[in-house]
Amino acid sequence: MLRVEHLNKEIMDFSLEDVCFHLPKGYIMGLIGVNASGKSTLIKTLINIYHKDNGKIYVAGLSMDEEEKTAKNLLGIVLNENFYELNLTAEENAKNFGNYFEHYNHHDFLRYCRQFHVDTKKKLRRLSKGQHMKFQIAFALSHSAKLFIMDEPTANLDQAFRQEFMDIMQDLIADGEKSILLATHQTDTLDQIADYITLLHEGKIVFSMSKEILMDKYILLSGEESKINALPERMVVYRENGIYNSMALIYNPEIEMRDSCNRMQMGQNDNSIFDVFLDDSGLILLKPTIEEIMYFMIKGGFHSVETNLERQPSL
Amino acid sequence: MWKLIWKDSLHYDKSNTTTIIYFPMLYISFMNLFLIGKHSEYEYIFGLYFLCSFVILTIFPLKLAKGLYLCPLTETERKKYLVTACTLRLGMMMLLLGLILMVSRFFLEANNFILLLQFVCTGIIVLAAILLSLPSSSAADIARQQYYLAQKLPLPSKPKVRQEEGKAAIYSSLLLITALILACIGAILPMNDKEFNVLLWLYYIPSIIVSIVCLMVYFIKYFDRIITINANREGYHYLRKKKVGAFHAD
Repeated sequence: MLRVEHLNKEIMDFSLEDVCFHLPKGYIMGLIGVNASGKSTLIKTLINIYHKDNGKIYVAGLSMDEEEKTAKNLLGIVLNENFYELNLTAEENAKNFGNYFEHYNHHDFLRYCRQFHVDTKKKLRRLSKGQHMKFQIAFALSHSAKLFIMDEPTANLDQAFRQEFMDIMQDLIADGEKSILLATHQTDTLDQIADYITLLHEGKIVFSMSKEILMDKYILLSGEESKINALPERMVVYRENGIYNSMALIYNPEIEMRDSCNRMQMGQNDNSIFDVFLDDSGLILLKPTIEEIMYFMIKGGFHSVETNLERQPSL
Repeated sequence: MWKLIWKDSLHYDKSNTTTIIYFPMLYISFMNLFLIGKHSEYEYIFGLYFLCSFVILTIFPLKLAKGLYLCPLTETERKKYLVTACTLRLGMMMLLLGLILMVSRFFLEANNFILLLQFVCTGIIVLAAILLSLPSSSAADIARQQYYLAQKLPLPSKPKVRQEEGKAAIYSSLLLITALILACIGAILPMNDKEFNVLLWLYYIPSIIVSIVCLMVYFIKYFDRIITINANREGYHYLRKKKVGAFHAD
């Protein structure tokens, strides 16, 4: 549904460098990263608010260079920053901007607004932030968007709305025809709903892969400092020693061993890693959350970029 | 499109600083009209018209509705929207001017020929003012430079490009200001005359020709470039954010 190839964009003192990833149809991809990592810049570049320096962007196989208009008809954009007319009502906004979309249906818009409890007669400036987000989703749905691009939609919103928002997103992709690219630094939402995770740091992709693979790939170990420090360097992404407890994010040895290339590099001695945490050493083996993976990877630095682009057939 | 332009043109943009240049002009006009000396009814009506026009241009700037950047429009269509917005603004101001002149004709018994000349000259003034209110490429560049200065960052220099853009901005502004000044004098000269002085042709013929030539050169050489910048979200973004930093990514 969305394919980004070698995207570069330099803006002021910041640059997106060689961004590549692929979001298949019917899935949710979480775009994560700390503040100022380039998420919003990437989103704005994807939807042509910023003009890319080079690279390719395809939406449902349509190039954003040659077929921008057709491709934008398929985009449902939900941004944290307001782009609509605050002095007009939600209905007037939808009517005015909907005219530019090929498949806009005003009855659908009103139906979705009823479903999401958005007052269409209220001026946009009088809507709450949550309602504003729902208005944008209703508008995107009413012009039959296939790819939803969302930038921090739940930032500064309460837990109740976030739960409701997750339900809405899961309903969106239920038919297998729509996809969602969700940029956020609140990764707890993604733990529950994302199928793919892309980590962006300082304008570069650290990884872009299926959440299942990502969660299998790493293990979090917690325990005494000496034990954590004894872990083989090659296996450790980053270790952090605290006053009472130390932690380390390591590559899952089972997954690593499956990779024949890695097996050759590791040699026999690396089997001992199992012994470190499978015997009674006192280390606790934990399944890391996305936030923990992001935190440890950024702290520890990253040496190779992993994206799912190479595994997908070329467009 | 017309409806959106109309609605959007009434959207007060408090962050707009591109037309701040008009404020001293407004102040001088206001002082001159109401506080210094005595004026005829005709002068008051005209003065008020200019004040209203410039206030409208200052607080309701011509720009692309932000939401349009999310709509399936090509750059050409965005440019078309801006050109339409300029045309609509010009049309409305000229309509208002026409009404004022008609009122002057019937109630103040002004001379028909003088009114026609004033309509032409004021039309040039309004057109030049509308075009001047569009931010040029150098406005975007100034914003960028201000940001870098505030952040104490070295400017990513493309000095040649910046120099060329700066030159283009100066030349285009000069063309419009020339047309504006000539037309202003043309509108003021016969203000209280009941009969047209034939000698005034010595001013009107060359000044109208020069004004039209200036506007034509502007349209041929610079208009497309300036409209393109205004149809480009990046430029707009720099301008809006210039006080707090032109760029943020979070």
